[in-house]
Amino acid sequence: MSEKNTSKVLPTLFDGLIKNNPTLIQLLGMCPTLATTTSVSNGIGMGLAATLVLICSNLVISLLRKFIPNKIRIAAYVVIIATFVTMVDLLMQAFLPDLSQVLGIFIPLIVVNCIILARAESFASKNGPLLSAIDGLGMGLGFTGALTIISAVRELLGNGSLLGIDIFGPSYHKMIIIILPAGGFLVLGFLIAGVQFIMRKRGANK
Amino acid sequence: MSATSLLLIVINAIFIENFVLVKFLGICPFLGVSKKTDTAVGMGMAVIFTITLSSALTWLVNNLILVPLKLEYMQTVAFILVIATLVQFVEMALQKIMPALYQALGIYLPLITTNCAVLGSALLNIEKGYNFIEAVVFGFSASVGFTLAIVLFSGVRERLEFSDIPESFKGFPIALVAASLLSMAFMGFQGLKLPL
Amino acid sequence: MQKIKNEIVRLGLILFIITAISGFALAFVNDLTENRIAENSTKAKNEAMRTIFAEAETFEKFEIQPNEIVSEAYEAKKGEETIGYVVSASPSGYGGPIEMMIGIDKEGKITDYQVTSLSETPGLGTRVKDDEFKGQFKGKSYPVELTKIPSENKVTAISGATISSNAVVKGINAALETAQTKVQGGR
Repeated sequence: MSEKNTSKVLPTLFDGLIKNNPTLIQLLGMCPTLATTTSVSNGIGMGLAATLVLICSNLVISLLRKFIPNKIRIAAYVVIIATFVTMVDLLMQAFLPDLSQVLGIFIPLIVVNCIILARAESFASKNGPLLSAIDGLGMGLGFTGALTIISAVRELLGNGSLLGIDIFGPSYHKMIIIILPAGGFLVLGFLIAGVQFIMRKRGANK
Repeated sequence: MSATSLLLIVINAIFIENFVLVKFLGICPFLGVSKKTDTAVGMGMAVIFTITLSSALTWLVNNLILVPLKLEYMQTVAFILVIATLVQFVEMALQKIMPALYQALGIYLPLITTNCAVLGSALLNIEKGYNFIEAVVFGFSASVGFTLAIVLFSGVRERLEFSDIPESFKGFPIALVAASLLSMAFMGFQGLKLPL
Repeated sequence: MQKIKNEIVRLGLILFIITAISGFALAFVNDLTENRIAENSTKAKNEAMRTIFAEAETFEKFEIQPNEIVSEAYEAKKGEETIGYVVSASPSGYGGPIEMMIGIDKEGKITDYQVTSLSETPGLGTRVKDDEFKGQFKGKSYPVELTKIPSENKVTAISGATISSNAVVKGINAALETAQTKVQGGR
């Protein structure tokens, strides 16, 4: 029994990180992806907060999966997810106030991040707690990875910096549009196009 | 709170701080349901109904229960419960009254629960300190703004169907690029100087 | 019929239990963090006030009519002398409320302001904290306006951050209005 579990841990982890990356392949969780990727520190902060919630909610929902009646499962999942989101929100307000302010309304909005509900519905409700937690970790880190890439592009082009450190120097003419909402759509669009291109090439090579 | 200030809330919510194109709320259904104009309009109507009602209900729950009992930290949990229940009722109502629309919206109807715009508008009402009427007006206008964006966008996408799009851009990517242009167009409204 | 009613009661009960457990868990975390959160806020405000009026010895709160932007106001005093006023305002910005402490001198003109909390876009809206934008407000009196060409009582917005700039101007004007009572009325 445990042998079966351990052999599933790594594939589950990589599933979320790359093969079924929630943002770039499954195309879930768009709202925070567009809104919080204006700087690398914001993107990473958001990703890690969501990952924490994802691991906890997957774990608890998996533990309770036999007790939650089918008819109210969505409402139940949502309450459990909201509880963890509120915990993360309060803890961040207390111990990481600057990050909490910057991410603003998008922290409570982690509740409606489609990724978390999708994983609860498709994985945690059907698998054991350890595997569910690993899935949460994998998907969460995959999400964080995607956010990091997008925010790196946006911060570098739009502000000439990475993690607040000036890269190009004062003579760089900032491409402000990239940091504005329009730029968010644009960067994400090109990134997904790139991913689809890579997938087509791999599909052709197989 | 005069008629003028309410009108300003309406204009602000629809154009200057458009939920989808400026505040990034409601993107998933925006990208998912905007392929055909009639589905988009149907979704928009469902969202307007849901958000207007949820603005009213969540305001009441917050100001009549949570605040007096000092339970503000339960906002997220309480609001999402209200919304989930509300959407359940909207689903049942649509199934009875407009079954064609119910079929057309398919899975996107229950997904209104996870539409950031619904929870987002409830939270924004609290943040902006609106009274009951202002909250309902804001919710209504914000969802009208959402509908405006989604319908405009579906028009664009219907046209795109006939264009020659590079392989890698087909589907989501070209939709996002189009959304980027629509967002740029709305940037013009930022210059609107309103005596808010 | 009875079966269906029982079913609904059962489902409702389970949901209620889950929500109740959630409530208890959150009440616990809330207790843990409440004080810290309040402290963070007070600390930030006090630091801001001391930066605005470094020579002040005390800050006395005075009565005002709070509205949706202005919450409280203080009189900065050195000994018995009033050197100015500080108003706490939180206008609605792009990503959330911009919390500011605004310094006003005895004649009702802006001296400086400090932003204690904001959720604006980094590199754009966050520039309302920079001296380049802030400096425009020094010496201005009510009412301040946002235009293309700066002049008497007009300031320019940050390119690409109109909502954030507007919010700050709203906060400033609300603060100036609040301070009017003290400036005109008393000592």
